Amino acid sequence: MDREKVTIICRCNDVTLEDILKAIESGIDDFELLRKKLKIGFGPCQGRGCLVIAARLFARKTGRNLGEIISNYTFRPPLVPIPVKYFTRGGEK
Amino acid sequence: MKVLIIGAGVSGLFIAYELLKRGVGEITIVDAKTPGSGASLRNVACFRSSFTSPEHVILMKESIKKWLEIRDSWGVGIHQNGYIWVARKNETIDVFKKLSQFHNSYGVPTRIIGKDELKEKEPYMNIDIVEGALYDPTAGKMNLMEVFTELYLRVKKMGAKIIPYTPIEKLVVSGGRVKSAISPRGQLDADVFIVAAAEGSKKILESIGVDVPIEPVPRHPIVTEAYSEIIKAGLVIDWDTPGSPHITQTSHGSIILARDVKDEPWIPLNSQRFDAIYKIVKPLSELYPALRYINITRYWMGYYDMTPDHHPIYGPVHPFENLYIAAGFSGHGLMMAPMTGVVIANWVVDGKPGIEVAENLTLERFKTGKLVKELAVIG
Amino acid sequence: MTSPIDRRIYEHPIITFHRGRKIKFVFEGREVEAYEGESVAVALYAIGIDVFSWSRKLNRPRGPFCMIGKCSSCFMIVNNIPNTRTCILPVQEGLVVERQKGLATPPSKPLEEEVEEVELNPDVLIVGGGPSGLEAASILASNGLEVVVVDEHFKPGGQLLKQTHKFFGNVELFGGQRGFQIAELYIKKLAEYSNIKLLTQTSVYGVFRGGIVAAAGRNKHYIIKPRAVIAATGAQERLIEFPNNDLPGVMGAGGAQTIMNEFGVKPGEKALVVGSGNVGLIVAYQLVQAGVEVKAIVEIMKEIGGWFVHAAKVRRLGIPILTSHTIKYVEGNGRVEKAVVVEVDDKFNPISGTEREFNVDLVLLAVGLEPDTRFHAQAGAVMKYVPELGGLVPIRTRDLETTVSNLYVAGDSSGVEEATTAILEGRIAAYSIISKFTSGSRAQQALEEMEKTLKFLWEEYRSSPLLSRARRGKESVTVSREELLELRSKYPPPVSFG
Repeated sequence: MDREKVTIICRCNDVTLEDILKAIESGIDDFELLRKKLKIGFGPCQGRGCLVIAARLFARKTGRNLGEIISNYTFRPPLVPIPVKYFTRGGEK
Repeated sequence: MKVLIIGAGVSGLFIAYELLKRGVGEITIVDAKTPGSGASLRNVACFRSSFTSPEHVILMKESIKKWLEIRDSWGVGIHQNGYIWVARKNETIDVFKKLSQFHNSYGVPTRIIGKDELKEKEPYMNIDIVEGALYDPTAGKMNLMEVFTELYLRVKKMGAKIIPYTPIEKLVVSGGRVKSAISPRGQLDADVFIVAAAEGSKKILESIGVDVPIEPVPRHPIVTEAYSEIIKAGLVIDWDTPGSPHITQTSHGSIILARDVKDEPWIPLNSQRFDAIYKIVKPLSELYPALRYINITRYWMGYYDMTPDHHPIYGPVHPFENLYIAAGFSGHGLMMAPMTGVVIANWVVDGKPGIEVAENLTLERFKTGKLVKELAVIG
Repeated sequence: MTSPIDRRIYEHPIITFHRGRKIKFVFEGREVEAYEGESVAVALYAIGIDVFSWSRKLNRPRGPFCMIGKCSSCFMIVNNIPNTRTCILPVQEGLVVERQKGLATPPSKPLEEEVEEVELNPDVLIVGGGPSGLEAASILASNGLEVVVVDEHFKPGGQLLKQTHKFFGNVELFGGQRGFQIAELYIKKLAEYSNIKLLTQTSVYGVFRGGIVAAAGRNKHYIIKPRAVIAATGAQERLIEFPNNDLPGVMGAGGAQTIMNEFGVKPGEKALVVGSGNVGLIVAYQLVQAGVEVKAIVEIMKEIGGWFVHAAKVRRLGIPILTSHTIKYVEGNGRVEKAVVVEVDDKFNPISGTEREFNVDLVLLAVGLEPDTRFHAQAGAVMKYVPELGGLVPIRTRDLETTVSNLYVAGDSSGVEEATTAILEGRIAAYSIISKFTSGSRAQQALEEMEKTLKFLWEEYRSSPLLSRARRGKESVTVSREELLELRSKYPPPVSFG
C-alpha cells in the first residue's frame, strides 16, 4: 500500500497526502496558494473536513505557525450550500 | 540592475518573468500580503481581444498569442472556447453587427450566430428568450489556480526573490530618482522600481506627490458546487440585462456567476450584499434553467481597479527616471498580464514599450486629457 | 428483489425508538421500505447499503460520514437532482433515488416547489438550538423579548440529543437527567412562549451588509433583521488522517451516535473507537447498548482522556483501552474490514513491531471537537486560534459580546467545554441583552442575574481541575469592554446589530 496515495485529506476533491507533500516540495510555500492549487476546501464541505488537517500538515512541513495559517483563512457566505432556486424570485429590495 | 517590483500579483510576476528572460539580474518582488492574494486569484479567469479600442484589441491579440504559447510550453489548462454575448432583443443584433465590423477590421474574427447555432453551442441555454448572439472564437478561459501557481513557481525558479507580508508605505526620492521603498520591515533599495499593486499603487505614489486615478470597485461573483459540463463556452454574457450578467464554468466543474452590480468603491471585501445574490442569479437562471437546481457554495468579492477610461496605466512615472507603473487594469489585469510583462520589461531595458499603442496608456494621459474610450468592461 | 438486511434496532436498554408510519421509495430500481422521520441516508444504511457514492477524481467508494449535511459523502441523485445530501433529506413517499459517481448534470425541468420568503424582525436571533441557545431563548422570552431560534436539525437539542448518560450536579442544572431528556424539557418549555419562533431544519447561512442574517429552511427563505444575535453554533468533530481513512465504515463518533441513538439503526457489527475523551468513552458504551461489539479504544496519550466514571463503565463492559496507541491504517473492500493500531513512544512516533490487527467494520473517530465559529468569523468578529479551546474562537467580553456589536457567542462555539457551561453561557448572554434592551427594574434584575451567573461560572464551576484547560483558554480570549472597543475600531466589522 502506498500510504500517502491512499490517505485522503480533502474528501470532496480527492486531495491525497501525496498531493500535498509533492506540492510543498515543488516550492509552494504559502498555504493559501497550496489550498488554491490543490483545491483543498473548495468543494461542498468548504473546508470543514480538511482545512485544519491540511493546515497542520503544512505547518509541520514548513515550520510555519498553525494559528497564523488558520487565522488567515476567510469565511464567506453561504455557510451551507444553498440551491439557486432560493434566489430566483423576489428579494430585490 | 537591481529591480524592485511592488506587488506579487499576476502583473508583477509576469513583469519579473519577462525581465528575467531578458537577462536582468536581481529581481525582488514584495507583496503587502501573499502572492495572488489580490485580484489575481479573484476573477473569472477569461480572456478576449474583442474590445472596442485599438489599445485593448492590439494588446490583447498579442496577449492571447502569448497565452497560447504558455499553454503549449507550460502544459497548463488554457482553453480557447470562445465568448458568447447573447441578445435578448432583436435591436441588439444590429449593435452586435457594428461591433463585429470593428473587431473584424482589427483581425479579431467575431461573428453573429443565430438561434440554431447558439443551441448547438450551448445546449443548456433557454433559446426561447434570446434572439441570437455575438461570438468570439479566439476568446476563452483558463485554469486560474494552475496557471498562477505555475507562473509563481517558474519566476521563483528563474531566480526572483518573492517576499510576502511586506507592505510598502512610501517611496523615498532624491535627485529625480527613487532611492528606496519603505516598509514596516525595513528599507528596500533598488535601481529600478515598478509599482504593480492595483489600488495599492495609489497610496504608494501619493507619498511622492504623484496622483494615480484608480478606484477599486467591488464585484460580487457567486460560485457553485461542481457539476458536469453545462456552460460550454469560455464566458457567456447577457448583454441586454443591465450590468451584463456573465457566467463561466471552471474545468473543475464549479460555475461562476457574476454581474456588475452597482456598488461603492473601496468597500471592504468582506461586505457581502444579500440583494446582490438575487440580482446575479435571476437573469442567469433565466438563461440557464438548470441553474435552479445547483447549489451555491461561496460568494466572494473582488476588485476591479478602475481608471476613468477603463484602460490600464502603463509605463514611466514622470518626472522620476527609474519608476514605472502597471496598474488600473479595470477588470482585465489577468488577461493582459503576459503583455504587461513584455511592455514594462521593454520600457525598463529599451526605454520604450515595443508596442505603439502602449504609449497611449501612460499616466500622462490623465494630465493631458487624452483618455481612451472603451465600451464593454466585463470579462 | 428486496434485501433481507435490516440494521434497525428493535430492543434497546435505554431508548425507545418511536418510528413513524411506513413509507416506500425507489432506490436504483428497487422498492425500499422506510419509516417517516428517517433520512434517506439512514433508510438506505438500514437495508445494508454501505457505499453511498464514488469520489470524483479517484473513484473511491464513500459511505455516510458526518450525517449532518456538511460533507459530500452522501450525495445522491434524488428525483433527478444531483448533489442532494441524503443524510438530511427526510424520506418521502415515491422518491426516486440513485447513487452518483463523481459529477452529474442538474435537470432543466421547472421547479417542483417554489421557495417562500419570510421576513422576520425579532429582538434576538439565536443561531443554534443546543443547550446554550435553548437556555438563552427561554430566559429572553420570559423577559418579554421576541426571539427566533434556528436549528439545522429537525429536532432541537444539539449534542444533548446524542447523550444517553445522566448529568451530574445540582437539580437546577439538570443533575440526574439524561441528555436527550433535558432536550425534551427545553422543547416543552419553549413551546409555552408565544414570543419564541422555533425554526427547525433551517440553516443560517450568512450575515450580509446592513445586518441582514439569511437562513434557508425546507423551501422557506428567511430574511432576518435582528437587534441582537446569540450565535451558539456549537462544535464539530475533528478528524485525523491515515491510509484509507475515507472507506465506508470510518466516521466521526457523532455520525454514529446520530445513526444509533436518534434513528435506532445499528452502525456496524464490530467497532474500534479512536480517542478516549468523554465522547470516545461514551460512544463506546452506547455502541454496546446498540448491540455492537467494541473491540478496543485506542488513545494516543499515556492517560485516558475522559472522566473516570465513563472509563469505569467501559472497563466493566470488558472493552480494552489501549493508551499510547494510535491507528495506523484501515483496509477493506467497499467497507472497512480491518483496522491496524500501533503503539507510540514519548514523541508519539509509532514503534515498529507493535502493530495489532482488529477485524472491525466500523472505526469511529472521537479525537476531539473544534468550535464551529464560521458564523462569527464571516460576520467579521476578531478571532483567535486557541488550542486549549479546540480552535478558532471570537474574542469576547465577560458577558460574551464579540467585536461585532450585539453579536454574542455562547456554548461550545465560544470554546469547547461542557453542556453545563454552555447552559450558563447562554444565560449570561441572554441577561446581558435583556439589561440592554429593557429598562427599569427588569434591566436591573437582568444585570444582577448576569453577575450572579458569571460569579458562579468563573469562581465556582470553572474552578474544577477538569475544566482548567478550557478555563485558561477562555481567560485568554476574554477582554475588557475598553479592549473590545479598541479591537472593534482597529478591525472594523462589515456589519453591526442593534
